[in-house]
Amino acid sequence: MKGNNKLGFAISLKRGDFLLSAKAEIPMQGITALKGPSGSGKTSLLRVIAGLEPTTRGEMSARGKTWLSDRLFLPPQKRRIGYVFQNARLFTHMTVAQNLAYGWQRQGVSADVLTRVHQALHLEPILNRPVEGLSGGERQRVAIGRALASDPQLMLLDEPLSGLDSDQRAETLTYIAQALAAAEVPAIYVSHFQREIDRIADRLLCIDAGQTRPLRDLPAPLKALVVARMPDGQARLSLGGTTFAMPCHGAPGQEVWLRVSADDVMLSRNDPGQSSALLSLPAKLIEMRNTAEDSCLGKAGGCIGYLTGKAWELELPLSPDQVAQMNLTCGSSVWVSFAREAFLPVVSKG
Amino acid sequence: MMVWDAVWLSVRLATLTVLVLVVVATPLAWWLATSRNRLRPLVEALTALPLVLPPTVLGFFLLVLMGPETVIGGFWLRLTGDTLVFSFSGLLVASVIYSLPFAVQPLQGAFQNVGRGVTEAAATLGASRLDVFYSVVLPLSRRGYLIAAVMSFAHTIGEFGVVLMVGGNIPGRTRVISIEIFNAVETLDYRTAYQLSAGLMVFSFLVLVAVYILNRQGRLE
Repeated sequence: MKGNNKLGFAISLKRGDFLLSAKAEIPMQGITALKGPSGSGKTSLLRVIAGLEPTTRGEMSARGKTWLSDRLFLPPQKRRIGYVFQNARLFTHMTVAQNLAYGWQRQGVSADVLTRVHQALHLEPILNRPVEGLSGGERQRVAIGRALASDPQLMLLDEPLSGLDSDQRAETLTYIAQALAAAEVPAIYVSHFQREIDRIADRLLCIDAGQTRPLRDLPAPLKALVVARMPDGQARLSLGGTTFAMPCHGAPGQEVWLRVSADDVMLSRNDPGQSSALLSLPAKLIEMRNTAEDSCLGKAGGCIGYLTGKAWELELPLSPDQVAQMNLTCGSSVWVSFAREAFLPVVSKG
Repeated sequence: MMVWDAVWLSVRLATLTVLVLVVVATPLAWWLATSRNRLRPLVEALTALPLVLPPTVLGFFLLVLMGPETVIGGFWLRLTGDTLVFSFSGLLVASVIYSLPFAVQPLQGAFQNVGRGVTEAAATLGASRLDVFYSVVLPLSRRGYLIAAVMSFAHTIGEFGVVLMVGGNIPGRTRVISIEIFNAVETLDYRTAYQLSAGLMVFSFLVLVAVYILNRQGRLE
Protein backbone atom coordinates (compact mmCIF):
# COMPACT_ATOMS: atom_id res chain seq x y z
CA MET A 1 0.00 0.00 0.00
CA LYS A 2 2.92 2.32 0.58
CA GLY A 3 3.34 3.02 -3.12
CA ASN A 4 -0.29 4.03 -3.25
CA ASN A 5 -0.34 6.44 -0.35
CA LYS A 6 -1.89 9.18 -2.42
CA LEU A 7 -5.05 11.06 -3.16
CA GLY A 8 -5.39 10.99 -6.93
CA PHE A 9 -8.07 12.68 -8.96
CA ALA A 10 -8.98 13.91 -12.42
CA ILE A 11 -12.36 15.55 -12.05
CA SER A 12 -14.61 18.18 -13.53
CA LEU A 13 -17.51 20.05 -12.03
CA LYS A 14 -19.80 22.42 -13.88
CA ARG A 15 -21.60 25.17 -12.01
CA GLY A 16 -23.37 27.59 -14.30
CA ASP A 17 -20.62 29.25 -16.33
CA PHE A 18 -17.87 28.07 -14.00
CA LEU A 19 -15.98 24.91 -14.86
CA LEU A 20 -13.69 23.30 -12.33
CA SER A 21 -11.21 20.97 -13.95
CA ALA A 22 -8.66 19.54 -11.55
CA LYS A 23 -6.05 16.84 -11.75
CA ALA A 24 -3.40 15.95 -9.19
CA GLU A 25 -1.70 13.19 -7.22
CA ILE A 26 -1.36 14.47 -3.68
CA PRO A 27 0.74 12.49 -1.18
CA MET A 28 -1.30 11.52 1.87
CA GLN A 29 1.36 12.93 4.14
CA GLY A 30 2.13 16.36 5.54
CA ILE A 31 0.26 19.48 4.58
CA THR A 32 -0.61 20.42 1.02
CA ALA A 33 -1.62 24.03 0.53
CA LEU A 34 -4.26 24.86 -2.04
CA LYS A 35 -3.87 28.40 -3.24
CA GLY A 36 -5.60 30.61 -5.76
CA PRO A 37 -7.37 33.93 -6.12
CA SER A 38 -10.97 34.43 -4.98
CA GLY A 39 -13.40 32.54 -7.17
CA SER A 40 -10.68 30.28 -8.58
CA GLY A 41 -12.40 27.13 -7.32
CA LYS A 42 -10.46 26.35 -4.13
CA THR A 43 -13.54 25.71 -2.02
CA SER A 44 -15.26 23.85 -4.86
CA LEU A 45 -12.29 21.50 -5.19
CA LEU A 46 -12.25 20.88 -1.45
CA ARG A 47 -15.99 20.11 -1.53
CA VAL A 48 -15.46 17.74 -4.45
CA ILE A 49 -12.78 15.89 -2.46
CA ALA A 50 -15.10 15.70 0.55
CA GLY A 51 -17.93 14.27 -1.56
CA LEU A 52 -20.19 17.27 -1.02
CA GLU A 53 -20.70 17.80 -4.77
CA PRO A 54 -22.64 14.81 -6.12
CA THR A 55 -22.62 16.14 -9.70
CA THR A 56 -18.82 15.79 -9.98
CA ARG A 57 -17.60 13.85 -13.02
CA GLY A 58 -14.34 11.97 -13.34
CA GLU A 59 -12.29 9.77 -11.07
CA MET A 60 -10.89 9.97 -7.58
CA SER A 61 -9.25 7.51 -5.25
CA ALA A 62 -7.49 7.68 -1.91
CA ARG A 63 -4.97 5.11 -0.69
CA GLY A 64 -6.11 2.76 -3.45
CA LYS A 65 -9.81 3.01 -2.53
CA THR A 66 -12.12 4.43 -5.18
CA TRP A 67 -14.10 7.49 -4.10
CA LEU A 68 -15.46 8.43 -7.50
CA SER A 69 -15.75 6.75 -10.88
CA ASP A 70 -18.27 6.43 -13.69
CA ARG A 71 -20.28 4.01 -11.61
CA LEU A 72 -19.51 5.00 -8.07
CA PHE A 73 -19.95 8.01 -5.83
CA LEU A 74 -18.80 7.43 -2.28
CA PRO A 75 -20.86 9.73 0.00
CA PRO A 76 -19.01 12.01 2.45
CA GLN A 77 -19.89 9.93 5.53
CA LYS A 78 -17.92 7.00 4.07
CA ARG A 79 -14.75 8.88 3.09
CA ARG A 80 -13.37 9.37 6.62
CA ILE A 81 -12.40 12.95 6.06
CA GLY A 82 -12.32 15.80 8.54
CA TYR A 83 -13.65 19.02 7.06
CA VAL A 84 -13.04 22.37 8.72
CA PHE A 85 -15.36 24.92 7.17
CA GLN A 86 -14.62 28.63 6.90
CA ASN A 87 -17.34 29.49 9.41
CA ALA A 88 -16.86 26.55 11.82
CA ARG A 89 -20.43 25.24 11.41
CA LEU A 90 -20.67 23.99 14.98
CA PHE A 91 -23.83 22.30 16.26
CA THR A 92 -25.48 25.06 18.29
CA HIS A 93 -27.75 22.67 20.21
CA MET A 94 -24.75 20.91 21.77
CA THR A 95 -21.98 21.82 24.19
CA VAL A 96 -18.35 21.96 23.11
CA ALA A 97 -17.77 18.44 24.45
CA GLN A 98 -20.79 17.09 22.56
CA ASN A 99 -19.59 18.73 19.35
CA LEU A 100 -16.16 17.16 19.79
CA ALA A 101 -17.68 13.73 20.41
CA TYR A 102 -20.06 13.78 17.41
CA GLY A 103 -17.78 12.24 14.79
CA TRP A 104 -15.63 10.46 17.37
CA GLN A 105 -18.66 8.46 18.52
CA ARG A 106 -19.90 7.66 15.01
CA GLN A 107 -16.52 6.44 13.78
CA GLY A 108 -15.91 4.34 16.88
CA VAL A 109 -12.59 5.96 17.71
CA SER A 110 -10.69 5.17 20.93
CA ALA A 111 -10.85 7.50 23.92
CA ASP A 112 -7.12 8.29 23.66
CA VAL A 113 -7.72 10.15 20.41
CA LEU A 114 -10.33 12.38 22.02
CA THR A 115 -8.04 13.14 24.97
CA ARG A 116 -5.14 13.90 22.65
CA VAL A 117 -7.33 16.31 20.67
CA HIS A 118 -8.47 18.06 23.85
CA GLN A 119 -4.83 18.53 24.86
CA ALA A 120 -3.39 19.50 21.48
CA LEU A 121 -6.00 22.22 20.97
CA HIS A 122 -6.18 23.25 24.63
CA LEU A 123 -9.91 22.57 24.83
CA GLU A 124 -10.28 21.27 28.41
CA PRO A 125 -11.19 24.67 29.90
CA ILE A 126 -14.15 25.16 27.55
CA LEU A 127 -15.51 21.59 27.29
CA ASN A 128 -18.74 22.27 29.19
CA ARG A 129 -19.49 25.60 27.58
CA PRO A 130 -22.34 26.02 25.11
CA VAL A 131 -21.20 26.86 21.59
CA GLU A 132 -22.78 30.30 21.75
CA GLY A 133 -20.47 32.81 23.34
CA LEU A 134 -17.22 31.20 22.17
CA SER A 135 -14.71 33.56 20.56
CA GLY A 136 -13.88 33.16 16.86
CA GLY A 137 -10.59 31.45 17.66
CA GLU A 138 -12.25 29.07 20.13
CA ARG A 139 -14.94 28.18 17.60
CA GLN A 140 -12.32 27.30 14.99
CA ARG A 141 -10.37 25.23 17.51
CA VAL A 142 -13.53 23.29 18.37
CA ALA A 143 -14.25 22.79 14.65
CA ILE A 144 -10.71 21.48 14.09
CA GLY A 145 -10.97 19.27 17.18
CA ARG A 146 -14.35 17.91 16.11
CA ALA A 147 -12.88 16.90 12.74
CA LEU A 148 -9.66 15.45 14.22
CA ALA A 149 -11.52 13.46 16.89
CA SER A 150 -13.28 11.45 14.17
CA ASP A 151 -9.80 10.07 13.35
CA PRO A 152 -9.94 11.04 9.66
CA GLN A 153 -7.51 9.74 7.07
CA LEU A 154 -7.40 13.22 5.50
CA MET A 155 -8.14 16.69 6.87
CA LEU A 156 -9.58 19.38 4.62
CA LEU A 157 -9.28 22.93 5.96
CA ASP A 158 -11.00 25.75 4.10
CA GLU A 159 -9.37 29.06 5.10
CA PRO A 160 -9.77 28.24 8.79
CA LEU A 161 -8.25 31.59 9.82
CA SER A 162 -10.58 33.83 7.84
CA GLY A 163 -12.78 35.87 10.14
CA LEU A 164 -10.20 35.86 12.98
CA ASP A 165 -8.27 38.92 14.12
CA SER A 166 -4.51 38.94 13.67
CA ASP A 167 -3.65 37.75 17.21
CA GLN A 168 -6.05 34.84 16.93
CA ARG A 169 -4.76 34.03 13.43
CA ALA A 170 -1.20 33.50 14.64
CA GLU A 171 -2.30 31.50 17.67
CA THR A 172 -4.76 29.33 15.74
CA LEU A 173 -2.28 28.60 12.93
CA THR A 174 0.18 27.27 15.52
CA TYR A 175 -2.55 25.11 17.08
CA ILE A 176 -3.46 23.72 13.66
CA ALA A 177 0.12 22.86 12.74
CA GLN A 178 0.79 21.19 16.10
CA ALA A 179 -2.50 19.29 16.22
CA LEU A 180 -2.07 17.96 12.67
CA ALA A 181 1.50 16.89 13.42
CA ALA A 182 0.49 15.24 16.71
CA ALA A 183 -2.31 13.29 15.02
CA GLU A 184 -0.10 12.48 12.02
CA VAL A 185 -3.00 13.25 9.68
CA PRO A 186 -2.33 14.56 6.18
CA ALA A 187 -4.16 17.75 5.31
CA ILE A 188 -5.17 19.96 2.43
CA TYR A 189 -5.12 23.55 3.56
CA VAL A 190 -6.86 26.26 1.53
CA SER A 191 -5.49 29.78 1.80
CA HIS A 192 -4.73 32.72 -0.41
CA PHE A 193 -1.99 34.08 1.84
CA GLN A 194 1.49 32.97 0.79
CA ARG A 195 2.90 33.86 4.22
CA GLU A 196 0.45 31.51 5.92
CA ILE A 197 1.27 28.78 3.40
CA ASP A 198 5.04 29.20 3.82
CA ARG A 199 4.65 28.73 7.55
CA ILE A 200 2.58 25.55 7.49
CA ALA A 201 2.71 23.63 4.21
CA ASP A 202 5.05 21.03 2.72
CA ARG A 203 3.85 21.50 -0.83
CA LEU A 204 1.64 23.72 -2.90
CA LEU A 205 -1.12 23.13 -5.40
CA CYS A 206 -2.14 26.25 -7.28
CA ILE A 207 -5.50 26.72 -8.89
CA ASP A 208 -6.57 29.52 -11.19
CA ALA A 209 -9.87 29.99 -13.02
CA GLY A 210 -10.89 26.45 -12.15
CA GLN A 211 -7.68 24.84 -13.49
CA THR A 212 -5.10 23.17 -11.27
CA ARG A 213 -1.37 23.59 -11.93
CA PRO A 214 1.32 20.98 -11.27
CA LEU A 215 2.03 20.22 -7.62
CA ARG A 216 5.28 21.67 -6.31
CA ASP A 217 7.31 21.09 -3.15
CA LEU A 218 7.90 23.94 -0.74
CA PRO A 219 11.24 24.42 1.07
CA ALA A 220 11.94 22.00 3.89
CA PRO A 221 11.66 23.44 7.41
CA LEU A 222 14.65 24.42 9.51
CA LYS A 223 15.43 21.76 12.08
CA ALA A 224 16.25 22.99 15.56
CA LEU A 225 16.86 21.03 18.74
CA VAL A 226 15.24 21.55 22.15
CA VAL A 227 18.07 22.22 24.58
CA ALA A 228 16.09 22.96 27.72
CA ARG A 229 12.59 23.72 28.92
CA MET A 230 11.92 27.07 30.46
CA PRO A 231 9.03 28.36 32.57
CA ASP A 232 5.86 29.82 30.99
CA GLY A 233 5.76 27.42 28.03
CA GLN A 234 9.02 28.57 26.48
CA ALA A 235 11.83 26.33 25.33
CA ARG A 236 15.48 27.05 24.59
CA LEU A 237 16.27 25.91 21.08
CA SER A 238 19.53 25.44 19.29
CA LEU A 239 19.93 26.22 15.59
CA GLY A 240 23.16 26.64 13.69
CA GLY A 241 25.25 26.94 16.85
CA THR A 242 23.09 29.69 18.32
CA THR A 243 20.58 29.16 21.09
CA PHE A 244 17.46 31.19 21.60
CA ALA A 245 14.17 30.99 23.52
CA MET A 246 10.69 30.89 22.05
CA PRO A 247 7.21 29.56 22.97
CA CYS A 248 7.36 25.93 21.98
CA HIS A 249 6.42 22.39 23.08
CA GLY A 250 8.87 19.50 23.17
CA ALA A 251 11.27 17.93 25.66
CA PRO A 252 15.06 18.40 25.66
CA GLY A 253 16.61 16.37 22.86
CA GLN A 254 13.55 16.53 20.63
CA GLU A 255 13.74 17.98 17.18
CA VAL A 256 11.56 20.99 16.39
CA TRP A 257 10.71 21.96 12.84
CA LEU A 258 10.63 25.67 12.25
CA ARG A 259 8.89 27.02 9.23
CA VAL A 260 9.19 30.63 8.30
CA SER A 261 7.89 32.74 5.46
CA ALA A 262 10.37 34.37 3.07
CA ASP A 263 8.66 37.65 3.98
CA ASP A 264 10.04 37.31 7.51
CA VAL A 265 13.65 36.67 6.48
CA MET A 266 16.20 39.42 5.80
CA LEU A 267 19.59 39.16 4.15
CA SER A 268 22.61 41.35 4.82
CA ARG A 269 26.31 41.25 3.97
CA ASN A 270 27.49 42.36 7.42
CA ASP A 271 26.78 40.89 10.86
CA PRO A 272 23.67 42.70 12.12
CA GLY A 273 24.21 41.35 15.65
CA GLN A 274 21.60 39.55 17.79
CA SER A 275 18.50 41.28 19.06
CA SER A 276 15.38 40.24 20.92
CA ALA A 277 13.36 40.33 17.74
CA LEU A 278 15.85 38.94 15.26
CA LEU A 279 17.86 35.75 15.14
CA SER A 280 20.86 36.25 12.83
CA LEU A 281 22.97 33.40 11.49
CA PRO A 282 25.90 33.37 9.07
CA ALA A 283 25.43 31.46 5.82
CA LYS A 284 26.85 30.90 2.40
CA LEU A 285 24.94 31.32 -0.86
CA ILE A 286 25.75 28.10 -2.70
CA GLU A 287 23.44 28.19 -5.69
CA MET A 288 21.20 30.60 -7.56
CA ARG A 289 18.55 29.30 -9.89
CA ASN A 290 16.51 31.57 -12.15
CA THR A 291 12.77 31.24 -11.94
CA ALA A 292 10.10 32.28 -14.35
CA GLU A 293 7.40 34.76 -13.45
CA ASP A 294 4.80 33.06 -11.32
CA SER A 295 1.43 34.67 -10.76
CA CYS A 296 0.46 31.95 -8.29
CA LEU A 297 3.38 32.67 -5.96
CA GLY A 298 2.99 36.39 -6.62
CA LYS A 299 6.59 36.73 -7.77
CA ALA A 300 7.83 38.68 -10.76
CA GLY A 301 10.76 36.54 -11.83
CA GLY A 302 14.14 36.73 -10.09
CA CYS A 303 15.81 33.65 -8.71
CA ILE A 304 15.85 31.21 -5.84
CA GLY A 305 18.90 31.35 -3.64
CA TYR A 306 20.08 28.22 -1.82
CA LEU A 307 21.77 29.07 1.45
CA THR A 308 23.63 26.80 3.85
CA GLY A 309 24.70 27.54 7.39
CA LYS A 310 26.04 25.42 10.18
CA ALA A 311 23.81 22.32 9.98
CA TRP A 312 20.89 24.13 8.39
CA GLU A 313 19.84 25.16 4.91
CA LEU A 314 17.27 27.48 3.43
CA GLU A 315 15.72 28.34 0.08
CA LEU A 316 14.96 31.98 -0.38
CA PRO A 317 13.53 33.85 -3.36
CA LEU A 318 15.79 36.75 -4.36
CA SER A 319 14.61 39.72 -6.38
CA PRO A 320 16.85 41.09 -9.19
CA ASP A 321 17.19 44.36 -7.19
CA GLN A 322 18.38 42.47 -4.13
CA VAL A 323 20.95 40.53 -6.15
CA ALA A 324 22.29 43.71 -7.77
CA GLN A 325 22.36 45.89 -4.65
CA MET A 326 23.98 43.30 -2.42
CA ASN A 327 26.23 42.11 -5.22
CA LEU A 328 25.22 38.51 -4.59
CA THR A 329 26.95 35.70 -6.43
CA CYS A 330 27.42 32.02 -5.80
CA GLY A 331 29.74 31.67 -2.84
CA SER A 332 28.83 35.01 -1.24
CA SER A 333 28.92 35.07 2.54
CA VAL A 334 25.77 36.56 4.00
CA TRP A 335 23.90 36.94 7.27
CA VAL A 336 20.37 35.63 7.44
CA SER A 337 18.07 37.30 9.98
CA PHE A 338 14.83 35.64 11.00
CA ALA A 339 11.98 37.50 12.65
CA ARG A 340 11.83 35.26 15.72
CA GLU A 341 8.09 35.44 16.32
CA ALA A 342 7.44 34.47 12.69
CA PHE A 343 8.74 30.94 13.32
CA LEU A 344 6.06 28.29 13.47
CA PRO A 345 7.44 25.50 15.67
CA VAL A 346 6.23 21.91 15.32
CA VAL A 347 7.72 19.13 17.41
CA SER A 348 8.72 16.40 14.98
CA LYS A 349 7.72 12.81 15.58
CA GLY A 350 10.47 10.29 16.15
CA MET B 1 -74.31 16.96 28.30
CA MET B 2 -74.28 17.89 24.64
CA VAL B 3 -71.84 20.78 25.06
CA TRP B 4 -69.12 18.66 26.63
CA ASP B 5 -69.60 15.98 23.98
CA ALA B 6 -68.79 18.63 21.40
CA VAL B 7 -65.74 19.90 23.29
CA TRP B 8 -64.39 16.39 23.82
CA LEU B 9 -64.94 15.58 20.13
CA SER B 10 -63.14 18.75 19.04
CA VAL B 11 -60.17 18.09 21.32
CA ARG B 12 -59.94 14.44 20.22
CA LEU B 13 -60.10 15.43 16.55
CA ALA B 14 -57.48 18.18 16.93
CA THR B 15 -55.07 15.97 18.90
CA LEU B 16 -55.26 13.12 16.38
CA THR B 17 -54.95 15.59 13.50
CA VAL B 18 -51.73 16.97 15.01
CA LEU B 19 -50.30 13.47 15.49
CA VAL B 20 -51.07 12.45 11.91
CA LEU B 21 -49.79 15.78 10.58
CA VAL B 22 -46.40 15.47 12.33
CA VAL B 23 -45.87 12.17 10.52
CA VAL B 24 -47.22 13.35 7.15
CA ALA B 25 -45.83 16.89 7.13
CA THR B 26 -42.25 16.03 8.18
CA PRO B 27 -41.16 14.27 4.97
CA LEU B 28 -43.19 16.67 2.82
CA ALA B 29 -41.67 19.76 4.48
CA TRP B 30 -38.19 18.22 4.30
CA TRP B 31 -38.62 17.58 0.59
CA LEU B 32 -39.91 21.13 0.01
CA ALA B 33 -37.02 22.60 2.02
CA THR B 34 -34.23 20.66 0.31
CA SER B 35 -35.36 19.57 -3.15
CA ARG B 36 -34.25 21.29 -6.33
CA ASN B 37 -36.85 19.38 -8.31
CA ARG B 38 -38.69 21.38 -10.97
CA LEU B 39 -42.02 20.09 -9.66
CA ARG B 40 -41.44 21.71 -6.29
CA PRO B 41 -43.52 24.89 -6.92
CA LEU B 42 -46.41 22.66 -8.00
CA VAL B 43 -46.30 20.62 -4.80
CA GLU B 44 -45.82 23.79 -2.76
CA ALA B 45 -48.93 25.35 -4.32
CA LEU B 46 -50.98 22.18 -3.76
CA THR B 47 -49.93 22.14 -0.10
CA ALA B 48 -50.93 25.78 0.36
CA LEU B 49 -54.27 25.39 -1.46
CA PRO B 50 -56.34 24.85 1.74
CA LEU B 51 -55.18 28.31 2.88
CA VAL B 52 -56.99 30.10 0.06
CA LEU B 53 -59.88 27.78 -0.87
CA PRO B 54 -63.25 28.41 0.78
CA PRO B 55 -63.71 25.52 3.25
CA THR B 56 -66.94 24.62 1.55
CA VAL B 57 -65.13 24.02 -1.74
CA LEU B 58 -62.56 21.79 -0.08
CA GLY B 59 -65.32 20.05 1.89
CA PHE B 60 -67.40 19.50 -1.24
CA PHE B 61 -64.55 17.86 -3.13
CA LEU B 62 -63.69 15.67 -0.15
CA LEU B 63 -67.35 14.69 0.21
CA VAL B 64 -67.45 13.63 -3.44
CA LEU B 65 -64.06 11.93 -3.25
CA MET B 66 -64.81 9.94 -0.10
CA GLY B 67 -68.39 8.90 -0.91
CA PRO B 68 -69.11 5.16 -0.54
CA GLU B 69 -69.42 4.67 -4.31
CA THR B 70 -65.91 6.04 -5.04
CA VAL B 71 -62.73 3.96 -5.00
CA ILE B 72 -61.45 5.46 -1.75
CA GLY B 73 -64.80 5.52 0.04
CA GLY B 74 -65.72 2.03 -1.20
CA PHE B 75 -62.41 0.62 -0.04
CA TRP B 76 -62.89 2.17 3.39
CA LEU B 77 -66.43 0.79 3.63
CA ARG B 78 -65.24 -2.73 2.83
CA LEU B 79 -62.30 -2.40 5.23
CA THR B 80 -64.14 -1.01 8.26
CA GLY B 81 -67.82 -1.52 7.57
CA ASP B 82 -68.40 2.18 8.03
CA THR B 83 -68.64 5.03 5.53
CA LEU B 84 -65.82 7.55 5.41
CA VAL B 85 -68.17 10.49 5.02
CA PHE B 86 -70.30 11.48 8.02
CA SER B 87 -67.88 9.64 10.32
CA PHE B 88 -65.09 10.60 12.69
CA SER B 89 -62.48 8.98 10.42
CA GLY B 90 -63.69 11.07 7.51
CA LEU B 91 -63.44 14.18 9.67
CA LEU B 92 -59.90 13.27 10.59
CA VAL B 93 -58.88 12.85 6.94
CA ALA B 94 -60.50 16.17 6.06
CA SER B 95 -58.88 17.96 9.01
CA VAL B 96 -55.45 16.66 8.11
CA ILE B 97 -55.79 18.00 4.57
CA TYR B 98 -57.36 21.24 5.74
CA SER B 99 -54.61 21.96 8.31
CA LEU B 100 -51.73 20.63 6.21
CA PRO B 101 -50.27 24.07 5.32
CA PHE B 102 -50.31 25.08 8.99
CA ALA B 103 -47.99 22.18 9.78
CA VAL B 104 -45.89 22.13 6.60
CA GLN B 105 -45.02 25.81 6.44
CA PRO B 106 -43.45 26.22 9.92
CA LEU B 107 -41.56 22.95 9.46
CA GLN B 108 -40.31 23.93 6.01
CA GLY B 109 -39.13 27.26 7.45
CA ALA B 110 -37.41 25.52 10.34
CA PHE B 111 -35.65 23.03 8.06
CA GLN B 112 -34.50 25.83 5.76
CA ASN B 113 -33.15 27.68 8.79
CA VAL B 114 -31.09 24.67 9.83
CA GLY B 115 -29.51 24.95 6.40
CA ARG B 116 -27.04 22.81 4.51
CA GLY B 117 -24.07 24.05 6.53
CA VAL B 118 -24.48 21.88 9.60
CA THR B 119 -25.98 18.91 7.75
CA GLU B 120 -22.91 18.82 5.51
CA ALA B 121 -20.66 19.07 8.57
CA ALA B 122 -22.49 16.15 10.17
CA ALA B 123 -22.12 14.07 6.99
CA THR B 124 -18.36 14.63 6.85
CA LEU B 125 -18.21 13.42 10.47
CA GLY B 126 -19.65 10.08 9.44
CA ALA B 127 -23.39 10.49 10.03
CA SER B 128 -25.80 8.84 7.60
CA ARG B 129 -28.64 10.94 6.19
CA LEU B 130 -31.18 9.57 8.66
CA ASP B 131 -28.70 10.04 11.52
CA VAL B 132 -28.14 13.67 10.42
CA PHE B 133 -31.88 14.23 10.48
CA TYR B 134 -32.40 12.82 13.97
CA SER B 135 -29.24 14.15 15.62
CA VAL B 136 -28.99 17.61 14.03
CA VAL B 137 -32.05 18.69 12.02
CA LEU B 138 -34.73 17.56 14.46
CA PRO B 139 -33.29 19.15 17.62
CA LEU B 140 -32.56 22.38 15.75
CA SER B 141 -36.17 22.42 14.45
CA ARG B 142 -37.86 21.97 17.86
CA ARG B 143 -39.47 25.41 17.74
CA GLY B 144 -40.81 24.79 14.24
CA TYR B 145 -42.46 21.59 15.47
CA LEU B 146 -43.98 23.37 18.45
CA ILE B 147 -45.42 26.11 16.26
CA ALA B 148 -46.68 23.59 13.70
CA ALA B 149 -48.42 21.56 16.42
CA VAL B 150 -50.00 24.56 18.12
CA MET B 151 -51.17 26.13 14.86
CA SER B 152 -52.68 22.98 13.38
CA PHE B 153 -54.33 22.09 16.70
CA ALA B 154 -55.94 25.52 16.95
CA HIS B 155 -56.89 25.55 13.29
CA THR B 156 -58.59 22.17 13.58
CA ILE B 157 -60.53 23.30 16.66
CA GLY B 158 -61.79 26.28 14.69
CA GLU B 159 -62.86 24.63 11.45
CA PHE B 160 -66.52 24.71 10.42
CA GLY B 161 -67.20 24.53 6.70
CA VAL B 162 -65.21 21.41 5.96
CA VAL B 163 -66.68 19.61 8.97
CA LEU B 164 -70.20 20.48 8.01
CA MET B 165 -69.71 19.30 4.42
CA VAL B 166 -67.84 16.06 5.19
CA GLY B 167 -69.11 15.16 8.64
CA GLY B 168 -72.54 16.67 8.81
CA ASN B 169 -74.06 17.33 12.19
CA ILE B 170 -74.22 14.07 14.16
CA PRO B 171 -74.06 14.48 17.96
CA GLY B 172 -71.06 12.71 19.55
CA ARG B 173 -69.80 11.66 16.13
CA THR B 174 -69.19 14.72 14.02
CA ARG B 175 -70.78 17.58 15.95
CA VAL B 176 -67.70 19.61 17.01
CA ILE B 177 -67.71 22.90 18.95
CA SER B 178 -68.13 25.22 15.97
CA ILE B 179 -71.13 23.23 14.75
CA GLU B 180 -72.60 23.11 18.24
CA ILE B 181 -72.44 26.93 18.29
CA PHE B 182 -74.24 27.04 14.95
CA ASN B 183 -76.92 24.71 16.31
CA ALA B 184 -77.30 26.72 19.48
CA VAL B 185 -77.88 29.91 17.55
CA GLU B 186 -80.34 28.16 15.21
CA THR B 187 -82.37 27.04 18.24
CA LEU B 188 -82.03 30.47 19.88
CA ASP B 189 -79.97 28.98 22.77
CA TYR B 190 -77.79 32.08 23.05
CA ARG B 191 -76.45 31.09 26.46
CA THR B 192 -74.68 28.01 25.10
CA ALA B 193 -73.57 29.93 22.02
CA TYR B 194 -72.01 32.63 24.21
CA GLN B 195 -70.21 30.13 26.45
CA LEU B 196 -68.72 28.15 23.59
CA SER B 197 -67.84 31.21 21.52
CA ALA B 198 -66.16 32.96 24.42
CA GLY B 199 -64.28 29.77 25.24
CA LEU B 200 -63.03 29.43 21.68
CA MET B 201 -62.02 33.07 21.52
CA VAL B 202 -59.99 32.95 24.73
CA PHE B 203 -58.39 29.69 23.60
CA SER B 204 -57.45 31.10 20.18
CA PHE B 205 -56.03 34.26 21.73
CA LEU B 206 -53.87 32.26 24.14
CA VAL B 207 -52.64 30.07 21.29
CA LEU B 208 -51.59 33.10 19.24
CA VAL B 209 -49.83 34.65 22.24
CA ALA B 210 -47.96 31.38 22.72
CA VAL B 211 -46.94 31.29 19.05
CA TYR B 212 -45.66 34.86 19.11
CA ILE B 213 -43.69 34.24 22.30
CA LEU B 214 -42.11 31.18 20.68
CA ASN B 215 -41.31 33.15 17.53
CA ARG B 216 -39.73 35.90 19.58
CA GLN B 217 -37.51 33.46 21.46
CA GLY B 218 -36.49 31.99 18.12
CA ARG B 219 -35.34 35.36 16.87
CA LEU B 220 -33.48 36.26 20.05
CA GLU B 221 -31.28 33.17 19.89
